[in-house]
Amino acid sequence: MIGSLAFFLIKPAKSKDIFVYVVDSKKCIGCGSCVKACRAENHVPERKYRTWVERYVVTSNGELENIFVESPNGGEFGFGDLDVDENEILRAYFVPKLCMHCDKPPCVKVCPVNATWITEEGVVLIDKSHCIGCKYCIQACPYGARYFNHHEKVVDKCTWCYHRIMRGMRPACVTVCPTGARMFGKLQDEHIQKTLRERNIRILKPELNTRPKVFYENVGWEVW
Amino acid sequence: MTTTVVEGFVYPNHEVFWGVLIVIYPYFVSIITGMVTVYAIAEFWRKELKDIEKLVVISSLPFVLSALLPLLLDLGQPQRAFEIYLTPNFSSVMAVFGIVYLTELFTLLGEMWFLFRVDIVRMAQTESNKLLRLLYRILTLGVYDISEKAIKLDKKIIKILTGIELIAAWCLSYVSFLFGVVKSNPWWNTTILPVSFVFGGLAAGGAMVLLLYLAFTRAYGIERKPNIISTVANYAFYFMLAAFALETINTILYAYKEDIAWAVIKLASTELAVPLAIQVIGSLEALLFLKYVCYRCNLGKIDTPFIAIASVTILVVVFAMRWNMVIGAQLIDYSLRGFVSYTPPLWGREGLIAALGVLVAPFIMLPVVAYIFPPYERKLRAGL
Repeated sequence: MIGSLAFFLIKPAKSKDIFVYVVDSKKCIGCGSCVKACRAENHVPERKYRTWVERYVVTSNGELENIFVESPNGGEFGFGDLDVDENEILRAYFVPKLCMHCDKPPCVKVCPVNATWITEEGVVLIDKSHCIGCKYCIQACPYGARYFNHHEKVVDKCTWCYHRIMRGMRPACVTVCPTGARMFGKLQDEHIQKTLRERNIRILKPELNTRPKVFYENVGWEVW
Repeated sequence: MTTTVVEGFVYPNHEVFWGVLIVIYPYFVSIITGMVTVYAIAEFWRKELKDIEKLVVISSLPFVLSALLPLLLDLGQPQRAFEIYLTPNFSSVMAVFGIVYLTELFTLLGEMWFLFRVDIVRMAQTESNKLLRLLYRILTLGVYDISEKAIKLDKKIIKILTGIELIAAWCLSYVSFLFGVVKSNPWWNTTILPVSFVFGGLAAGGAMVLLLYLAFTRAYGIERKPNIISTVANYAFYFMLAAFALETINTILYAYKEDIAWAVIKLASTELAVPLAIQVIGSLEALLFLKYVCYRCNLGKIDTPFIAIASVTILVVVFAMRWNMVIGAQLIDYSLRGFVSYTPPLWGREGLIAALGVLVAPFIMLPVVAYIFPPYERKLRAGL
């Protein structure tokens, strides 16, 4: 109780060496390798997703844009052919999604027992042996990144493969991506800095002020 | 599977995570707030309600105790529930409510003890049943002083405790903050929600007091007083009117503004046709009946069926309001591109049978509490 109060009053210092994640939707081919790799690496239960891929198809037949979004089985087994007149397609692309590891995570704020927290490296984690399974954090996450593990009766989500990245490896999804659509590193890393400086980068749902650490390249306004 | 995708795109992890049990939790909390408020009104302002003080206090206890049941049943790891007190996160509304809940429980118990202290001492000395006599002796906590001076002090303490309890009950009722702070969900993220929630709760508590007054006066053979019914019904009327007006304003504002979430809220509302109809039609019916009850009581006449129908209607309406708030908001996916439907399972920890058990739990506890702490002295039924 006293420890909780101290933790509440004195916020731990943030490291400058934080991790970030960049997704280039132009490179994503929607193959689903990342979803499969994540499931295998983290023993994600069936029909639950730590990461998934969405397909956006924006069409117009002379009228204002129509937006069609889908993610069958989280994109794990790829996507079927489109049933749309090709001439009507304005743009179409895939968008991988995952936990945003926000700098101001609403999930951490609402957890009643401090079972979820943000590490010095900026990774949002869950202590599954402490989680009471109230599901409040799932409600608070605007990105739908958290799920309830019905077997373990606790909440779970993407950790950016914390067990790997703390050993100098990359997350499983980044490692298996055949086109390099997923990029991971420390904020100060040269390749990350180059991307963040030079290209048109955006975050999802900026109006909620969650300060996500997953950045997106080449996505339209229709992605949130 | 209790959640099914009805239309559009939903994030693949989306489910209705909080089911019927989490509808009951704010419902019970609402009733507690209303009952405690009626008690505070009796204690501080309306002396004509003094007759129902004991009844309201003993009836509040089963609801306060039962309010924990739905929460515990809903938790994935209920055995860790106590962690809320051991490692609380003070920025979490849920953790703060754990503390407010304990405050409410202990002030209520203290209030009961002081209110019934004279009765407890008398029973400890005169009760013929040995077991009950022992129980009352324990309940005296070794204090047998029932002199005028001691009773005067009791009354002062009761006033202080009532003040604390009222604040705690209102804070508990702001359980709606638990939903209101979720900025991701457009249905919950409104300023009006916590206020309308409190007013709905006050109306439900008033309705429950009216129903219990009818039941207890019948069971104890006590003559019903029109001014008691009229006062409580009048409060319930205005509280219900405020709740109904705020909910309506909220919906009209949303529809007029037509922001990005409105399209999906409008569609998801079709899944809530029945509870929404109950909410609107029931509110109007209850308001009409309550005004009629007040009018009749002012003439010195008591229309029991009308009082009962109006009270039950309010309780059903407020339940529908909670359903729409808790379930309705979860039908919308945070992608704001689709919605799901929810059918509670019949069996299991989060099923309808368990929910029904939780709903009747206070009414199972109530006769036991009333047996130990009788709110009235038994009279002959001939008086009715």
